[in-house]
Amino acid sequence: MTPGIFLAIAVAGGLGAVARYVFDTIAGHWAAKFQLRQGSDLEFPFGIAVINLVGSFLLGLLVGLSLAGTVDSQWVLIIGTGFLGGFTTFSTASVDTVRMVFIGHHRRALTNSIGILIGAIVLAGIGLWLGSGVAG
Amino acid sequence: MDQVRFPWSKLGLLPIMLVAAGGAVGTALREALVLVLPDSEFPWAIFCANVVGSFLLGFLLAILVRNGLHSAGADSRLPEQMRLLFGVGALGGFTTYSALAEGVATLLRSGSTTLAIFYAAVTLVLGLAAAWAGIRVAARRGEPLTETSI
Repeated sequence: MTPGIFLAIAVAGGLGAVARYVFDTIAGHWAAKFQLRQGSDLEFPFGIAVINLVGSFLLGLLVGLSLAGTVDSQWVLIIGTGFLGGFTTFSTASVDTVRMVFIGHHRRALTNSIGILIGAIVLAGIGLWLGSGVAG
Repeated sequence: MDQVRFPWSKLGLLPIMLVAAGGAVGTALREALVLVLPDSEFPWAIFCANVVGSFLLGFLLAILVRNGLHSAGADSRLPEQMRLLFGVGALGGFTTYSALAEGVATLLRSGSTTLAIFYAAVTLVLGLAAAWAGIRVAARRGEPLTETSI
């Protein structure tokens, strides 16, 4: 771990956080428009859920590729630990789930917690499998 | 569809810079934790970061809401900036869902099924408990926890 790599990880993490923020802002806007049109009460953090699912798949893929020797370990650090680590978030998901429990949306709380976690693990597993199959 | 305007103001330079700066610091702290803790089969660094980060975010948001975040009347500019820097940025960067999912998947693939399930379940349960506790700690004595607490 050189200082340069550490810095690159941090910067990549900042970029990942921005990507999350932009995507989640736009997703929230679309959800609000959809809600208005449908007259339905959506109130589910779709943006964060999709981000966490996609990010988990991508990290699985990246780690798989590095296991197959296709990708250098320092790129796993920068893109994986850095960007995808900044992109995905566990804290937001936890607080959102607690909020849902407070409001009484218990089924949504289960979906947002156990549902997304299982989905993310499965996707990470698929990514690992796909990535490790691509020999360098 | 112009009843819901595109949130351009949320995507301006200052919000983006706050998220980027916070995200970089949060990510650096997470990586520092990974480097400092000894290697083990159980991913202690990611586990601690995720649980502590959940507590801190619950605490932060509860404090900010009390100080005008999300309320239409009050000036929520500073609370919103704090949310972007520390919440979206730092704690969003400090915690990670991808490392959690990939960690569990890797443990499953290497045959450590019990450890994988344990790690996933404990992170989930303690993460939620921590978020709840963070909100609780931020609440004033005797103040009931409601959906408007956060």
